[in-house]
Amino acid sequence: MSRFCASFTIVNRRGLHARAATRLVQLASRFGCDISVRRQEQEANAKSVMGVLLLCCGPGTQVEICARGPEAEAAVTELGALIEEGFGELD
Amino acid sequence: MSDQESPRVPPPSVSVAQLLEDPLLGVPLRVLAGRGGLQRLITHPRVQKSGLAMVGHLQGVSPTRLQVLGETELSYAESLSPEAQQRAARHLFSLGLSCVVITRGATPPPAFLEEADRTATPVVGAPARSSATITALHAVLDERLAPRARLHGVLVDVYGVGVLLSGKSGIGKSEAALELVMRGHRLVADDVVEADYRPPGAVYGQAAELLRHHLEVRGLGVLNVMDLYGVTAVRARIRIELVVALELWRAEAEYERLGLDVEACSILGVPVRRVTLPVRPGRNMSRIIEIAARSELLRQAGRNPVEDFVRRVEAASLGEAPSREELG
Repeated sequence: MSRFCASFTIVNRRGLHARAATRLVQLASRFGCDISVRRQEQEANAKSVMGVLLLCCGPGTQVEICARGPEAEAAVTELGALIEEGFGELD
Repeated sequence: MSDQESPRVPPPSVSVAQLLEDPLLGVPLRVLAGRGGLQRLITHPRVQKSGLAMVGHLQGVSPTRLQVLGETELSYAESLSPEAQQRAARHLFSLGLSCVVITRGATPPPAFLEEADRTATPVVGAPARSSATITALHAVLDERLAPRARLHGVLVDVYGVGVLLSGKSGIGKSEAALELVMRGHRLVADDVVEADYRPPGAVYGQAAELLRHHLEVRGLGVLNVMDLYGVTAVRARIRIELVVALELWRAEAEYERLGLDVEACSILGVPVRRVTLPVRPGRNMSRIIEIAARSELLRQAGRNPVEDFVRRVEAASLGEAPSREELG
């Protein structure tokens, strides 16, 4: 099964706060593949709101998104784009 | 199960400085010498009594374990001539020890303290006797050095059995947990379970501090179960004794029909019984999970209803009348 990983930086001012985490999880849940978000040694299931919130990613944090399964590369690309456009919160 | 674990790296360790400041530490420890080494790491949860290292027998001394010198060891050291004390100190402190603990408020010979300073090996004093000091140290080290892993799943106390619900996102783990809470059971952790190993052979689970008492249900959002159902609907921590894996009902899959074959998974190296439950609309998962917990309790009480049943069927097919005892 294909596996695809890429790293991104949280750019929006409030970081991966509750609403942003929800958007990330909602997008991840549209894909059939298994997706994880990693911050340093902590890893969370990208489809779990609780798990993603627990990573407590502030602005400037590096996260690695990994996907395994169908559409893995598309999932990582789309999630990365969401993170890099600051969850639509950039001024 | 191991594919769900994301073990924390690096392996747990605690520095001498952290140990001295630890709020869980039940005995006061005072640094007597070797302050330069307070950042040295302890990686083993059990202390050693390393008296024989003083006579040059260094085998078996593990430097990253706390070394305890009590009354017996110190009385030996005090019986030596100053030259022999120096030799003993050199042996002991040649090992790059993380930390040496002197109990009963004793003062070790000056040669020991000098050698500790020279090698930057922290020597700390405890006022209590060895047995009490060791008990207190083990309690802290067991907590700080426990192997830990973060699991994806929901942990519920069902009749006192710690049941870990696992399965893919969206399968209905949190919904099943909420139903269980409504039936009087207690939520421990939703979605992220922090598991830790406790010797011998037990694994416990609890919620991450930030998420405690919360549960996320699609369509409703994040709920505070303690606010909604009260303090009896939550529990801080429980031993994980059963894994219930929820999966979509697959027509082609072979599900357990008798309950004879025990499936096990491993959490932090501890084997835990696992049952796989197929989910489909209209199947009341919370009641089935309750029954799984009841069966686990029965099994722990030494009863195995399935084996009794199988024996009964076998006896019938061989034309033997089963004894009363066999029928249970």
